[in-house]
Amino acid sequence: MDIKKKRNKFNVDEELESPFDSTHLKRSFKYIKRYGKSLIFALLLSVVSTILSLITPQFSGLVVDKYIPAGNIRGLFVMAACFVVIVALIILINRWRVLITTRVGQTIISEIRHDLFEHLQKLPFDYYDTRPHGKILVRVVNYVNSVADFLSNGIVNIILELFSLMAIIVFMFITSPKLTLLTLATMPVFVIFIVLIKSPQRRARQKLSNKNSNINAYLHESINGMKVTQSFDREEVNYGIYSGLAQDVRNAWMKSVLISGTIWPVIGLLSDTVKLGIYYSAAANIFADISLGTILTFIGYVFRFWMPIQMLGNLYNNLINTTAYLERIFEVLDEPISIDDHEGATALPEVKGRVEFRDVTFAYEKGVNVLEHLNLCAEPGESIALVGPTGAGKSTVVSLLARFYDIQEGSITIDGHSIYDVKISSLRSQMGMMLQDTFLFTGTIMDNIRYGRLDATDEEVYEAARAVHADDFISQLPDGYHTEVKERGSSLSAGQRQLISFARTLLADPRILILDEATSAIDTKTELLVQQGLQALLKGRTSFIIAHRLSTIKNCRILYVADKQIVENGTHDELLALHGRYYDLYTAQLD
Amino acid sequence: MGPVKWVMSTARENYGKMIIGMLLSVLCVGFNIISPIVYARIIDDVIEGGQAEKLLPLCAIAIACAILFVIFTYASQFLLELGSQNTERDLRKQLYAKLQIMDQNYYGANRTGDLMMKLTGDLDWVRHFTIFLIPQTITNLLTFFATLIVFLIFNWKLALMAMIFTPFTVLMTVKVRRNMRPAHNRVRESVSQLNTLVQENISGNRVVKAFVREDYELERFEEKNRAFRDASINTTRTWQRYAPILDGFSNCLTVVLLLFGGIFCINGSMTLGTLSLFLSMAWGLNRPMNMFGTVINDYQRFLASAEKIMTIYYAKPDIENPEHPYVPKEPKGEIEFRHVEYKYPSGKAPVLMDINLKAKPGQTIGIMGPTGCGKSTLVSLIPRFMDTSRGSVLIDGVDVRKYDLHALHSIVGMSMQDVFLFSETIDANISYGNPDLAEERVIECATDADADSFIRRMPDGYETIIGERGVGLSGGQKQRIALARALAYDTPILILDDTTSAVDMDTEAYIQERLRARKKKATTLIVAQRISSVKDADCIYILENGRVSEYGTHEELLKKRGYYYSVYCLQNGITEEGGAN
Repeated sequence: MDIKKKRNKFNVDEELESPFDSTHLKRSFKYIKRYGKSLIFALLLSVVSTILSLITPQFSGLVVDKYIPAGNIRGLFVMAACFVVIVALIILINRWRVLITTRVGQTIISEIRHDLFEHLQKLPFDYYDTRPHGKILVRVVNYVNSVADFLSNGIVNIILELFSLMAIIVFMFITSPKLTLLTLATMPVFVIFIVLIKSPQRRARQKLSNKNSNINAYLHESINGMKVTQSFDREEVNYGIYSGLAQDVRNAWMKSVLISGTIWPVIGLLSDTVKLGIYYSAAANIFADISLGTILTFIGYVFRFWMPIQMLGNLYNNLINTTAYLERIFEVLDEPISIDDHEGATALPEVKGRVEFRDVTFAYEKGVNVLEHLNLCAEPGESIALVGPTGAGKSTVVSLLARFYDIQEGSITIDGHSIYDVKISSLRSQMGMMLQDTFLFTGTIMDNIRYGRLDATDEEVYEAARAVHADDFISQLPDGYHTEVKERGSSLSAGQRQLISFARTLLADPRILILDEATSAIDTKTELLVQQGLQALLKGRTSFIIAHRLSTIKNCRILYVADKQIVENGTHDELLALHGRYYDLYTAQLD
Repeated sequence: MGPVKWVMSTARENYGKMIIGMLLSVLCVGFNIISPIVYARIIDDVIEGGQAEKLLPLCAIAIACAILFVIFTYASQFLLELGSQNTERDLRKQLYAKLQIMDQNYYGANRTGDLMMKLTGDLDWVRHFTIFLIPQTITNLLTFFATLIVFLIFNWKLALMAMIFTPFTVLMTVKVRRNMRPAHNRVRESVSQLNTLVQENISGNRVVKAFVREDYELERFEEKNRAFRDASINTTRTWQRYAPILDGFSNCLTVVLLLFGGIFCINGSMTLGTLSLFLSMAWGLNRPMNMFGTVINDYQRFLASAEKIMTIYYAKPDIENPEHPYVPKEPKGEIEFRHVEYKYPSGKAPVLMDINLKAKPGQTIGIMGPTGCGKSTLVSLIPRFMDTSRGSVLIDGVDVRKYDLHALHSIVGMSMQDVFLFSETIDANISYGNPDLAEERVIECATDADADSFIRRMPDGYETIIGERGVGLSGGQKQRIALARALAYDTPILILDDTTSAVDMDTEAYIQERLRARKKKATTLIVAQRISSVKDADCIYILENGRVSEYGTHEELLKKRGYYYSVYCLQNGITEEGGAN
């Protein structure tokens, strides 16, 4: 059902699931369409300013041909005034256009980014577990920024340049159909050239985006793991790896430049060929019927004919670059939300707390079952302890209950409702999870505890902290609850971070409480105090506790997880009497 | 040193490429002038003058020009890109090397998202500087002054007239500099905040899901997303207050030439030919003036980014290599703490006070104490993750502050509380400190850490790639790989900071056994919460409120009936003072 993709690491290029195609273009268009009116208006503005700018060269001709020979100084001043007015108009129109396209472009990318982030929130653990986080990060921020200009100005300019190209061709045709055909004869060459470089250029850009993604992933990990790197004196090796990745980026870039850099020279060459061809044909009298004046006028047009093509060449390069980013962005958006509400899912009613696993089989990776035909039942209000060897699947059991992963076989129910028939949010919001990984966000300690329940009052936050005896150390900090938690939590010890995350979980006031190694980094005395406080809190809530120090779970019903199943089940005393695996584990702890 | 000087000094090796690239691009402009002359000759001499024999040579010249133009354009683009890319690569390497010598204080104060932005988005602006701003500035200045000189030679009066807008342009650019900078800084700041938020959200995705906070996160994100959008739009808006005026100045240049040139022509002080020359060369003043504004504006954006990057360049670690670093020949692994005190830079009260501790080579020392008592801080002082505020830590009788940092780190192996594994294969993770480690040694160390059996059960065994920070592994599995990694590093001193807290007791007992059986015994410091982890140590130190409150062997401490004894009782289900069960 759920085949885990092979994990990606920093030095492995990501394979592209679906390369850019017309559906991608259509989807990009969906974002643009909303601002269609603005963009069409911007296009109209551009057309007006282009036409106006065609007028200005006429002034020079007027001055040289008429006013100066006539000595018309007044005319000069009138001309100057008109010129200034037209320039002012052009400038104001351009300004207007820039303001529109910037607003549209920035809004479009903020919408794409919004959708991307929203989608990321829905993606399961699995997505985050299988790729370096730096590779995800660079897509949301850097890649999206890179497509901004093309999605606003680029589109307008393409239409504009195509428009002026058409207009020029019409003018050329009116002036001399024969010479026009001569000029257009080079176009197939240009088209063939573009077709030829298209796919190597795209591949080069994709490669570049991969190499960029790789170096960012490595950098991200390097920053996060710097302490380990330093302590293992690995700086030199890592520097070598990073240098290699930087070299890869440079090489990929240069390769793409080698290809894209050919566009301009080729256009230059073609335009020169055409000009030369026209002059030559005139000189060699090939078109006897064409006058010199026509040729000169035509040459002027040829010059203007290649300008939009040059611009289009540039835009084409941008388009290729943009698609290399867009296909990565859409790839994230297309990532299936493998864990989602099933059709017709209803809200889970207030949980009483009867939890049942029936015949549950689960594998993270196909073929390697972590749990097989596991059965488990917890009555409302009961405290269940999961014990067993490391890696036996204790954390997996509780992750399944919160539907962080989907099982392959069997059923999991809460108060008789299958967790697959209820809305995930209604399920998880009634569950308090204290995960092994005590991740704290940047912000104050207060913010971090309040993350458990956003509308909690200050007093409720203090209360939760007091319940886990975190209040003692927090109030001793110089800024108390307003102490900033640094990203790597450097000024807080692991035990303190655990207490904060514990308070966060309790504040959520869950119906089902899951404590996965909640107190592993906390000293025994504090732990005991926490437990005493916890007894009152656990009342009426079903709880699952995973702990290695068995002293912490004596009051629970104990399930011993091993061999992909639950092999022993009973109270502390019952299991001791059994002289089974729990007995062995327990006695190993005593001296 | 300013950002420009910094970039340029890194680019030094590429000056040659960049200069040739710019020269070639100037030459291309030259070809653009030659070919019209050739075409003019075709008209004058061949078509009008009927000298048909000149047609082929002229065409040949035109073809040669065209071909050279193509080659030069391509070469110039290539060389400029090469110079710019090499510079970017070298800057990356330089910054990475700098990040590697920064200490933990720095990483506490600087967020990952922000550091990432400096080496990605900000670096893009440095690239823009080298590939666009520098060549544009130089070629435009060249064009501008070359044109000006021609103008001055032909008609200095009109040339001066043409310069009429220059002072205003300069004035405007001063304004642009003053007003664009804050706008660019805002954009830079907002994109960095966005990056930081997304980075944290990705790292904390498990917590977000566990607390069903997706909507809340989206809300926070949208706030930053919108702030960034608004800052970007605002920057364009501010820029558009100046851009049109600068644009206007450059366009009006033609008007000035036409108007005054026209008057000069009419009153006879200038020929029509000179005027048409001026007009046809007007772009030489026009375009540079037009670009000037864009360059200044982009330059401000570059500065906003470059100054942020330079904070890395200028950052100074508090913990640095001493001037005459000591590199021991045969480290034995004796550790001594002498009256050690440690205070956080921001903290008022010291975390550790008057710590005295001694471990002979090969001994095992246990450290216990309540949460937050400073155990981890204490062991962090040995590899100099922090420096003592008073007193000293000595290895083999030499203060750790005198050691070469790399030498020190290769003496002290560590398995940290906050297990950090790299998204690499398990094999690469274990041999992290010693990449050339033989496979048997990797397996041996994994076996000692009781990791071999579960690693072998994984589909790809030692070649299994583990997720970032080791996701996908259970807490105990991560700890055991981290332990194997520390063992594989094979140092005379080994620090195990709460390394087995997520490991069950059986496994712990097994690991301890294996550690004892190791041939080369390292001086081992074990920080732990469980009695079972430390009870066999040669000496156990109890830290309470930053001081050593008791120390001794397991038996001695039990007799003292202090903290250790009470923890012992709690963990074994014994009532204090009351004897057995």
